[in-house]
Amino acid sequence: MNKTYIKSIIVIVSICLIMGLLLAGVYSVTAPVIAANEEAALNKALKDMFPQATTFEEADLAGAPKSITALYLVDGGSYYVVNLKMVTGYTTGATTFIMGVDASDMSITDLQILSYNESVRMDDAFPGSFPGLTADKVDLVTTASPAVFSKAALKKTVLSALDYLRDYSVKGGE
Amino acid sequence: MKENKLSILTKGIIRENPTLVLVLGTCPSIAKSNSLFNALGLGLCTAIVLVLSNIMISALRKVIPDKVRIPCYILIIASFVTIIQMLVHAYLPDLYDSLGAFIALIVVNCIILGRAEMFASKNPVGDSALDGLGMGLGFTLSLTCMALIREVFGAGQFFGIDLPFFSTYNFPILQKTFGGFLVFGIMIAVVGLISKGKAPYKKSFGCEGCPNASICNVAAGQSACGGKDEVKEGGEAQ
Repeated sequence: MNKTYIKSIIVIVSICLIMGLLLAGVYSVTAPVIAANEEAALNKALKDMFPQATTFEEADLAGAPKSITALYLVDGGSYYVVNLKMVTGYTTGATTFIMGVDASDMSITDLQILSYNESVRMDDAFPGSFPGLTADKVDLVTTASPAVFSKAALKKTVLSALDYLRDYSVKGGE
Repeated sequence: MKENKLSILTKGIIRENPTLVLVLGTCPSIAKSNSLFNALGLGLCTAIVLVLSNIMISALRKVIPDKVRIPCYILIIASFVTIIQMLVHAYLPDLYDSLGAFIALIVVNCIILGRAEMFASKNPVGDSALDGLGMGLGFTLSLTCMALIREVFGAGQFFGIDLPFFSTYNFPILQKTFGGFLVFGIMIAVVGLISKGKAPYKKSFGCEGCPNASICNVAAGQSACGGKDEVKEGGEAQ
């Protein structure tokens, strides 16, 4: 094999190894801090959504779609809170939000975005257009510019979560 | 002609400002100059990546083969951007949320790859670090100036704090993309006026300084430019 190719391979692999070690070191330091920040943000968002709630019990997610990362039963199940991530959109998984749902009529009580990393920001009013809606009315929410693609992905995630919660509620939480 | 250290550091701030003179890194400049917080944050992150990548690329300039220099540069730049992204995510979560995808997009910022190719790959580590710092500060300065105009006159705020008079009477269009382009264009014109057109738009480097010199063979007719692209500073192509 040509010496130039061998040298090129050795150099690229060496740079990969060195930078990989550097990345691993920084990751080992920052990962716990990031996890702690995210947990604190989630707890704050849960408390803001239901300030009167006394318990948030995490439920089993058997058969849940990929977009649902956690399900909490508020005060024994009178309300649900789902922790969601967008699985479509430009940067999949980078947008996470929580949604509160009234278990009695499956209407959305609140929706809060926890992290948003798409390149175009949604207008602030868009998350506010969901509270009070049930699944059939969510379909009518308009996804006009800006961030049409991201808004459509968020709407799809909300509908998928509502479908799951409806089935979950019918099965009595099993 | 060899530049002195101070000249290397300061040229990136006005005379060869990467955003307003070299017109590099336009996308993040327009997208994230709508607030001073975003502009300062993105500018400083880019400056840090510039310095670190210039240092590493300069240190490895005699080791990296010419044929694979671009993948190596991008590998180094992307790693440093990821490191910065993790650090910002951990210790500056508000900035991380605000900048969003634009931290990762620093990898494809033309300023970084451009300076790696044109300066760091040909100069010692110290000079490369100074060049990275100067260019990074120039980028931050231009972003901050744009953000100052767009936030004060577009949103009536300064670092998110409402200003008297401007909070009532402002031009919201300056906060939109159109406003970004408008402010950007006006600032390029102003810098051109200040420098009286003396800012270099073509550098003389000839075949010796061409980045492709080692793989170019003008005599055999294997040259992208045909050996014609030698120009004088501020003059026409020969």
